[in-house]
Amino acid sequence: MQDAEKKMKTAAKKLFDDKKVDVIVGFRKGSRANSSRPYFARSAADVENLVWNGFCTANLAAFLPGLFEKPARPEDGYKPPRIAVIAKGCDSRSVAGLVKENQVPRANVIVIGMPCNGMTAAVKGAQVKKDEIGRACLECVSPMVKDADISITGESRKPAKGGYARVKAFAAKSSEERWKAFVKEIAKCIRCNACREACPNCYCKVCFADQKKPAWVSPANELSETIAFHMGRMFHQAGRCVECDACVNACPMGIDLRLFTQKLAQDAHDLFGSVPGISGDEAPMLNMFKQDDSECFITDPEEK
Amino acid sequence: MAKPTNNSEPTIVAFLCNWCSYAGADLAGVNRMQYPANVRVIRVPCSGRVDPLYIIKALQEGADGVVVSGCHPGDCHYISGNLVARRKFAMLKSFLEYLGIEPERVQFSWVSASEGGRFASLIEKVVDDVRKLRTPRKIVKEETITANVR
Amino acid sequence: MQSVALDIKNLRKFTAALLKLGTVRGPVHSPAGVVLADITTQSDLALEYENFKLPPKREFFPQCEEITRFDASGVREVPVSGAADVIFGVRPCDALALSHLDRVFTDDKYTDPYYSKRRGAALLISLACNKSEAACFCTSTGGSPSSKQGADIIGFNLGTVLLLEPVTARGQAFVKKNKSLFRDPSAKELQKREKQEADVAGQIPGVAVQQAPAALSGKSDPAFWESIAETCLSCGACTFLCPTCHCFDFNDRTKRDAGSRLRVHDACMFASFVREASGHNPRGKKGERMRQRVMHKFSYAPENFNTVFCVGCGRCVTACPSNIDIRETLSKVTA
Ligand code: SF4
Ligand code: SF4
Ligand code: SF4
Ligand code: SF4
Repeated sequence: MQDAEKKMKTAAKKLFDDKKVDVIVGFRKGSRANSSRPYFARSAADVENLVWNGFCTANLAAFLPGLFEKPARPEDGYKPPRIAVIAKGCDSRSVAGLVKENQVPRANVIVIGMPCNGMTAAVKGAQVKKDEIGRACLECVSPMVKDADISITGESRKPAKGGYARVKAFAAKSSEERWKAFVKEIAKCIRCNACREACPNCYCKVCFADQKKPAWVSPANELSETIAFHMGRMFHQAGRCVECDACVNACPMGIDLRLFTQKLAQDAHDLFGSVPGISGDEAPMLNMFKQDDSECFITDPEEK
Repeated sequence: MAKPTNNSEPTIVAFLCNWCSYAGADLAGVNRMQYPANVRVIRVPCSGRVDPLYIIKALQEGADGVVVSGCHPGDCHYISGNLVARRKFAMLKSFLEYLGIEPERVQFSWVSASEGGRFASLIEKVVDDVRKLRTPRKIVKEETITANVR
Repeated sequence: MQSVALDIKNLRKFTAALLKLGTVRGPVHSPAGVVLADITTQSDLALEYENFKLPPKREFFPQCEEITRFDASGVREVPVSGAADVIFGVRPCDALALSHLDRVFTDDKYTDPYYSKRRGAALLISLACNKSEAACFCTSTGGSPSSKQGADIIGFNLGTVLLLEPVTARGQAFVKKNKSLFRDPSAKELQKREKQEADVAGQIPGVAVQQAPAALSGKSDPAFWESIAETCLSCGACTFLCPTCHCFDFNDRTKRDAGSRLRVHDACMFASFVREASGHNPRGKKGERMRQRVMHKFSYAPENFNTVFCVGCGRCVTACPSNIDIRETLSKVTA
């Protein structure tokens, strides 16, 4: 790891020295014990602050849409910045997704691919224990960085087998049991939106949950509204969720959002053969179709 | 608007594509076909126009069931609206079912402008399915809100 | 006032005495750690715990409450509900925060009926900290692990004995009324309490809080605030968990032809906080919002109330997904 950090810093320094980037999105040491936090290095001198260790949990792709946001009057000579991002497998999957959705100009991004050994889960909820590798990493089927422009070599995790065992176990319960479990989990929510803000896919300028006309959901943490918020937000990840768990790690209430977002990933794979950020679909999964897409869910009233 | 219903007399919200299912419903009416009066029709320009939030919202406002119906695949007025919708609905139905919303409450179908009979039997089936459910409605807004302490 | 001692073996009797006053909320074990919850005669009060994840302000100023209800026949006020008669186990920092909120929600001219009714209903018994957490800095914000402000009674957990010191007349009255439960503390116990107080306070590192108000008046440089807030996600974790943050919004929620007006917590860190109907956002940048949050706590509050609106509980430090640390922000401000 230290070795990878050193190599990464050398590469980062070189990018600044060669005037190839304006900002490098990476991690620096956190203020809490055993923590790292997102950091924007803006000069060769800043490179010293970059770190690479087992606490680089956040999904840095979440910062890209904001960094590429055009000023109010882009015609006044706006040039998109050149941004390098220190990427794990999941960050790189998100970058690929954001590129596909035209949120990020690929030509202006330099993906620095890191060897990832799995990251410590944020210590907030009851289901994540201190210094434990997060579930997203334990279940990660592609720790290797996709489409890296610069690859930092080193020891990295073996891909997990996949298979969505937890989703399957949950699906095996009765409908009422599932509903109860879902509501119990969501009832802990305080509507702080950290899950949304930390998710690289939640880049909407105005989220449906913040719209006033129509007011899709109320910001009140009243149960029905909170459920509607989460159903809506999670479903917006259909065919897009890269299973990074940025939402889970950001949640101050330790809500197990993964149990639900993962279902979307499973369906994307099982129904449409799409693995967001990995399978090379030409468009976002729900923006395209095939003539022979599954019809098994359609009600046929004439069926006997 | 109608009073909130219980399962014996369910309210079903139907989102119908203007170019086919809505005309199909019209045809059923013109032909004086009988179908349950439980359905509240909302006309949309295309099944592809139906945002999943419409469905969630309908359930929240107290609908016992929702049905979305559009043109048969290949017949979309906008060429591919229903094909894109098909993917979205496949994901949505599976997701809501996973969370514990009974599949009977959220249904999708194809009904063309000439299928008045099919429309009538679709509504019959959905109303019947929902009526048979013994489980309570989900996500419904409470009429009263108690202070949410903690 | 004179402290009394309660032998822990009599804790159930003590809770029974509390329950005579009505609903009691206290610290109990749950799968998510120790939380403030309704207790019964059968509940075991937890006495060893880190601070609650959620701030006790929510007991008096709930995240969502119904103010009025309306339908075709008119508008009706909704009576205040959910008030507890006793709240036990609040940490001293949070009790201090409540005394700050008291001044926000009640002054000579205006009284917030919802807050003050609940606040007035509850006997507040705080519990001094036996150890500090990593992010605590109460000693720099005008509090301490045993500060009494805001509580009616403060408790000290000495292992086998709970020492209770009345702070207000109301607290005194409760102790007096239940004096059969208590005995006089021994000199050794009083010594132990003093040592404990000093020990815990001594563990807590200092933070540049008191210098902040003066330093902040000159901090208007947007680049400075942008640099602090660069990685801020604009979520509400810091403000919703803060025991002193008290911004709220009104939200009308309708169902068919009836509806409710709700008062819900709002957060100055949300991008939508001051967004105007035209779409213009006077605080459209993260730095501008960060500046507002810090200025409110460490500049405007001292101007208006003569105290910073931070009690050093450290919740925002722990909860921030980007680990933007208010302690560091303050040291940068005062550097
Ligand atoms: S919803 Fe999916 S992509 Fe978004 S933060 Fe959560 S796990 Fe990552
Ligand atoms: S981060 Fe957690 S508490 Fe905050 S809105 Fe999301 S699920 Fe709710
Ligand atoms: S600003 Fe942070 S440390 Fe200060 S009282 Fe609020 S949550 Fe606690
Ligand atoms: S918790 Fe952190 S990321 Fe969220 S608004 Fe506060 S400072 Fe920003």
